Amino acid sequence: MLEGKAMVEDTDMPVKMQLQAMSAAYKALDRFDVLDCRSIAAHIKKVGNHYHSHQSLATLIGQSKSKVLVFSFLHSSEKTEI
Amino acid sequence: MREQEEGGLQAAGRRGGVVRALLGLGAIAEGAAAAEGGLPRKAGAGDGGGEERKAVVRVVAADMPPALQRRAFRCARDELAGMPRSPRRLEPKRLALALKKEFDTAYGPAWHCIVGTSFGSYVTHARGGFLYFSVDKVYILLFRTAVEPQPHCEDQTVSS
Repeated sequence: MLEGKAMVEDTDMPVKMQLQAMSAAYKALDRFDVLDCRSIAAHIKKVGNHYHSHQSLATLIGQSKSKVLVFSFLHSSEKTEI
Repeated sequence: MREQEEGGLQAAGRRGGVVRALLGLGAIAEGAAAAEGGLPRKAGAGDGGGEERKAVVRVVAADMPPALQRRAFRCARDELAGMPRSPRRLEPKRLALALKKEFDTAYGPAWHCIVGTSFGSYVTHARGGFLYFSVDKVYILLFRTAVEPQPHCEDQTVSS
């Protein structure tokens, strides 16, 4: 993501976690097309889950004309064995 | 990249009533149920003329009992029907709020709802708590996560 800069609109998240999320977003945007929202969301979520293995990160990507919007939140989840 | 004053996840339809064509965006859920989100299907007809016309509901992906699905459809339809038509505008946060509150109240916490016309997502959800559907050209993601007791709990909404 050479052309843009991340801007935090709203947050309730430790700074370290924010930086990890932004780093993941940069990498995802380098790797995937900007319109491939699903892959971008998946990448950020998987990175987040790796750092916080006992919790899950839900990630949502939205599109605006000139912005990519990223919305992530952490939540507890039960692990179910299949 | 040009900066814009835009809060949260505003649907493009909120400005000028323009609804952007979907680009094959869907939702994938992992965990208990591997619901694969297919490509969202285009709404067949354009907007109907009369207010009597019933909104078209389509399920893109689901892991949810039918009764809960029907409740989500009814809630979404009712809320959309109550929104301004002239000028026509979508209020995604209002719809998301209504759905989340209804489901939190009826079925217990914690539900999450995202409303828009063009978004991708990747979430982990509780078994039986995932629904991704459309009402006309509005796409709605509703899913449930487990809640564990915590000493400090905080509710936060994204505001514009």
